Amino acid sequence: MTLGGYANRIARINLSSGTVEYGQVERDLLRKYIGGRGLGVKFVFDNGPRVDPFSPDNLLAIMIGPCTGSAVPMSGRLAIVTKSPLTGTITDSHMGGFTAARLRWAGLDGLLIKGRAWRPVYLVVENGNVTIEDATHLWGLGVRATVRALQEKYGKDRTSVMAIGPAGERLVRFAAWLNEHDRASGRGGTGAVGGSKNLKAIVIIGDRSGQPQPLPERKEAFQEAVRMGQKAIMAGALTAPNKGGLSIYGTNVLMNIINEAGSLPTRNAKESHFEHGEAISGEAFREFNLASEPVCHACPVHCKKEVEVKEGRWKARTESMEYETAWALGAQCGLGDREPLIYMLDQCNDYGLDTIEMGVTLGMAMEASEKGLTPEVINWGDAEKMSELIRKTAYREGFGDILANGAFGAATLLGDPDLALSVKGQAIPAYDPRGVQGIGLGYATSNRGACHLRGYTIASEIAGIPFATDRTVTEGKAQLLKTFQDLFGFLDSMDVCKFASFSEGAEEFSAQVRALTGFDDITPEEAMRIGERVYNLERYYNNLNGFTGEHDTLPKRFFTVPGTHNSAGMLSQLPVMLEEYYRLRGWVNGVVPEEKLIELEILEREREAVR
Amino acid sequence: MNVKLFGNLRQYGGGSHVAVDLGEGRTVADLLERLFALCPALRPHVVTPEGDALLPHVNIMLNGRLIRDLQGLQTPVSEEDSVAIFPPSAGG
Repeated sequence: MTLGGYANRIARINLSSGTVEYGQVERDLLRKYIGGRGLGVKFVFDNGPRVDPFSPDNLLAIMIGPCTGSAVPMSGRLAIVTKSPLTGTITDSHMGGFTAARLRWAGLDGLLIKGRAWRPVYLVVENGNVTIEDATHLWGLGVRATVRALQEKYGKDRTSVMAIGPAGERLVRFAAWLNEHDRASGRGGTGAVGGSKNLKAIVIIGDRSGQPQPLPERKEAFQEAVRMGQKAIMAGALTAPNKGGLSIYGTNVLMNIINEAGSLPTRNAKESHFEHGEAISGEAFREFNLASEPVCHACPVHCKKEVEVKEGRWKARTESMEYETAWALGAQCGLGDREPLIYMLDQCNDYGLDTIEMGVTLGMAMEASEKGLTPEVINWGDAEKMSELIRKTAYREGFGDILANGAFGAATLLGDPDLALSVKGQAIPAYDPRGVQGIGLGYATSNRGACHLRGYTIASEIAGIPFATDRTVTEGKAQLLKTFQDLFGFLDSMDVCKFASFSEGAEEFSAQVRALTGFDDITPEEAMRIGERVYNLERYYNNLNGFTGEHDTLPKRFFTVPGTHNSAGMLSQLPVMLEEYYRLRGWVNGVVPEEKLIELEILEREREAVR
Repeated sequence: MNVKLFGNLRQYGGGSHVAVDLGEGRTVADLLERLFALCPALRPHVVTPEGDALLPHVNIMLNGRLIRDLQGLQTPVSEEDSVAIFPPSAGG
């Protein structure tokens, strides 16, 4: 079978037996799930939903899509799909940079990793083949040292390295994978799943020499589809290189506008406005700490902002100061000082930790400390203590062993789970659901725990994309969210950066996939249906693990403690939106009914797989 | 009153805040005219050439509410209000 876009080759790696097998993916499966997140979810589902996340039987799927490594704008995303040790749900987490493109150029559509190696190992991927190598000498190293050692062995020019750090080795439940450019698959603890398999790193060697990859099925149509996408990105008010706010300031351009809206969760969401927001904004980092503006594959936007402290206690240089990181370790913890923020980002990157979960966990610990619930005192904004606890978390030392469970797990152990700003065990990101109503529905219904990237209603509620909605109202938010969730289900399966959706839509994305793969019936409407299928399969997986509507909720304080500043008095109105959302989804109390599964062509084969 | 500027609007407005005398002005449109009189370089980065609408994705907040959700450029404003102007901004 040949199909445009794909390598038509997937590797199944069993780390217990040390064997690698290769195969193709059925055409029908590719048509239904495309690649990336969608196909990864399908593989993880077929592996059996009830698996323990740290069991050798859990599947770690490293996936790319048909567009990966092509000229499609922003086509440099790599999906890691597995069962999360943080939430117990299915999870997918995506990294940027060039790792994904090199996997395509190395001749594979994905790596399906099971088992547990008897000693630490790393994988080498080259020319369509995978070998398993001894990583004993790398175990215990940080991400940076691991990458350096493997680049010394395999070279830099054609090589990408993704690795876990000490946090992943110690099964910290929010451990991440990072690559040579500090791009992280941060959320959901995929790094800990790697650690549980004794898998330290993956070296991917490939370039575009020889036959160009991926090969489009319809060359002229593909070139036109790429041109259409590039034109939209270059002209888009939000994405235009060196003009749009995302390009100039990075994602942290949001700090001031969200803070001005009184929608920046502050000091563990006791407030919703941070008095030092300006000091940790994208504008301030650009003025005082910008070191470079790196890019990802096929991306003209360059939203990554490498930052630096040149000397002193907090000396560090690291990619990339994202809005989420500046918020989680900043406002959430009452810290308004850029230099320790840069240092702590660097720590998290090297230890292999999700900065969102780490920051929210520390903020939770600060409030718990006020209540006398912690074994050590940690005050709001105490950067020295935060830095110490980040290290202790990565190495599971002392109090860090509690914090290594994430905000919800740690708060539960400390005796007050309501202190955790978490949904389904995963910490919220940087938007307060009291001040921005739709995103609260997004957190509650996300299939991987609290998340802004399943359905980014902020685009509409704040930025006005693709149309403006009022952040304070609930009407229409259920439909808005469903549209975003379904679109992103498709986009994550291509696997293209979500920021492309600031300037492109289902029309452009489906045209790119049609021309590349030759699946001519993937219209914009069908693209949305594929995204809906992915979202429902994820939900079905979670349902089979006992998740129901009871889990589609928000931390208690968003219903009981009003927002402050410019969202003074506001509370989340989740129940109103949730009812409408379930109706639109065709779900019953958060559960996908059988008829919906049949309608979306999910059920029959998948039911067999569950058995 | 102080009008807050963000992103690259600061380079056109000469800083993060501009003190504007609202005078007899009653609306956001009136306020913008006074602002542009002080900082003419701002105008093409905030409003359309006709001056009757904001540029796409430029946002103005009045006490944290986007004026598009109020009465747009005709939203009433007073000296006590907090006004903030943002260039196209999104991230994630």
